[in-house]
Amino acid sequence: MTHPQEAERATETGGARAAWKVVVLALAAWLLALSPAHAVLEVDITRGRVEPMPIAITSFLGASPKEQQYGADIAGVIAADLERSGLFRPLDPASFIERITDFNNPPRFGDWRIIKAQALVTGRVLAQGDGRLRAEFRLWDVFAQQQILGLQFVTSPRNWRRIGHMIADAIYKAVTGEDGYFDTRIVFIEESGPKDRRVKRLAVMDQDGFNLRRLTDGRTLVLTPRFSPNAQEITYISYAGGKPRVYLYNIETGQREIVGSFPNMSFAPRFSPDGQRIIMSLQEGGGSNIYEMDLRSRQLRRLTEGPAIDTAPSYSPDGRWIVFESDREGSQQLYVMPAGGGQARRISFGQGRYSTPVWSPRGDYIAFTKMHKGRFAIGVIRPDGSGERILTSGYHNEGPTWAPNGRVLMFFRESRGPNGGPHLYTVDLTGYNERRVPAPGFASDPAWSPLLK
Amino acid sequence: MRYTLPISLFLHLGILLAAIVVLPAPEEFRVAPQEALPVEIVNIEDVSKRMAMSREAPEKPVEKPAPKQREPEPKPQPRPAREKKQAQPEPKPAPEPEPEKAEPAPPDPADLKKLVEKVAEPEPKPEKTKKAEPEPKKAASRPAPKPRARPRAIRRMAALQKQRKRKKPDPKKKRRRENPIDEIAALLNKVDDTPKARPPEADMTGTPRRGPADMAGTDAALSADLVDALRQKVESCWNVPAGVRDAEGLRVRVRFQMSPEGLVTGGPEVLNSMAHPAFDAAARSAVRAVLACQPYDFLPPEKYEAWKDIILNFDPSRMLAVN
Repeated sequence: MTHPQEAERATETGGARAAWKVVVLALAAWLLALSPAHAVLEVDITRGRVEPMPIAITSFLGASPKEQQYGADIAGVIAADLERSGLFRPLDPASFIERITDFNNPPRFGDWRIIKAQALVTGRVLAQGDGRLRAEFRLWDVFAQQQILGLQFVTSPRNWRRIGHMIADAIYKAVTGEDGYFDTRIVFIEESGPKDRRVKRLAVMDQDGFNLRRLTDGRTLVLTPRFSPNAQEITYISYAGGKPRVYLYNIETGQREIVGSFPNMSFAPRFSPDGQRIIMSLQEGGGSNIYEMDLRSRQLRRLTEGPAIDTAPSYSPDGRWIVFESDREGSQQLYVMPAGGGQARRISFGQGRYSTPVWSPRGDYIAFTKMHKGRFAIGVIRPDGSGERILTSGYHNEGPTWAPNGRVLMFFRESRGPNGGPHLYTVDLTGYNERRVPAPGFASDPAWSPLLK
Repeated sequence: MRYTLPISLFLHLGILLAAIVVLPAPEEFRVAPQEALPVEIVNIEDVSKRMAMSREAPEKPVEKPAPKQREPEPKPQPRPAREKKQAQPEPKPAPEPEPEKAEPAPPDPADLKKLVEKVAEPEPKPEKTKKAEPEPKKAASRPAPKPRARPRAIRRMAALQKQRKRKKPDPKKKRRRENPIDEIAALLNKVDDTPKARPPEADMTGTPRRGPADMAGTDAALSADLVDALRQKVESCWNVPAGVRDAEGLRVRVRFQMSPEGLVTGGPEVLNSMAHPAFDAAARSAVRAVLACQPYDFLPPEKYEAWKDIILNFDPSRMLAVN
């Protein structure tokens, strides 16, 4: 035997063995990486149900009876807000199986699935040492078994209702994807007294009818309050002294100032979206035209001309367009024109007379009042004139105003008869869920505030 | 080089092994849609009787034609008579609202059963072809099912339009839930009569990407029948939030796995994301729909491989949005 040959063979074998090892390992790795291919079934779901979501809202926990009372009340405000929106169905607390005792632990989701709740709200109220109230809440997804949202709010105890509204807004947004509108106020004209001698007072209240506050005493006639889009300020017309004057009133500070005296005013001013300008219509001869006033310089600028009655202007949310009503073609119709003036384009072509147009804060619709054959209707139309839809009709519906999320409209409707009077109603953009707003007494001419800050 | 033969053998074996492991069972390959046009020998009496029924009794509650474990409805009958009407415009099939009816559900189920038995021979399905109709944008990929689907589309449309005039609850047969979209469409008609940009029955059924329209009868892959049942089940559980409904271009892709009993074991996992403000709400609603619809026990366990891993594309844009 030849050593070199053996050595050679040995080396060769050693080398071959190493090569084998590599091959085997590679193959093994490759085989492991393989897996049986299976087809993934893919299906398109293009439809679903449209139903109010069943939601369980538990009373917020509290250590002391006072905190527990706040807890129950706040939960009540949340439930009422969500239910009124028509998109939620708060479940009856008597049907709850689990009793929440610890705010920080996840609930027993099975108990909530049984009662068919799809979402669950738990919370806790704490009276802090500095006298303020702290409320925290969690929104749970019962099917996915996890928390969707958890927030806390601190405020003075007087504002406990606002906490409820803010929580309701947060829940609304998390579930529907749209901004909420519950933490808002309504300014309106409160009417009292016999039909022929009404006393009209300016009043403001929460959108759910609580916390009513009167701003004027009723001795002078007040009309058409309007909210500023970005502050808690309103304008309104007052006939104090016999002449119509436009007032600017800050609801939170109570400060009041006169914007101007317009003897020939035919329509109350509206704010521009940036709050820097107001737009109104002033009478000239037999007709009226639209004027814009810069609030800082107090300069007036005319936007339309002609002998027709151009009135009731409203800005688009981006401030670039104005919609107004005009009878320049013979009957009251809606026209859209650039905010700086210019060519106005008619957008309404249906049967009847169109008035009081208001542009939605979302920019996608313009609401209006329509009169036809003695019936009034509130409807919406797209800014290009298409998609006209009537949301509600009846005896004397008028004066739509939008909620800040562009989804709900408020208007007022007169009830008939000698004891009848105006009441406020809300209706959803779909035309459904028409509800009466609980206000003490008669109320007209509502204006919806933006979300409170 | 030495050992070339063993190495070669080894590698060949390796490839064979890989092939055995990777390649799916032969049945799974039979996925190619067999667009066979079924020809049914029909008794002319049955045809005239059924057609008479359908014309006279359109308002009877109609049933969704996607039964879970039911024989095919008598639908196929009128087909031969209607084949002529092939030249219908494309959109016709589309407007038909839901996979429902147009099938008159006679007041006495016994009658229906009698008819159904008569038709039991022609195999399952063709119904479903209708579902397999693609929306216009998917038209390219599935040209075949259309011709067949049209005739029934016409009947359905006609009956459906009659049905539209009255709201009525679907009979709750076989765990079918009534489709509220129809109700909503009928209710929303309280609005004035300016023509809407979108026809009220604009929702088109989605197309299953897999699950071939297997006309040939014995199907090994998930038939269009069952895919449709799955879609309807999920649709009945999907509560679409308001902001999502009005959203444009919002789509949620959800993937999940199931156990043979039809319970969700993996996921649901949301595969995409968008910067849309309503996306989170939409994604949550989709996940909720998948979980709420358990168990999916109508899916056949013998075809478990075909449905154990599912991707659902939730697309609310074709819903009857009020905007």
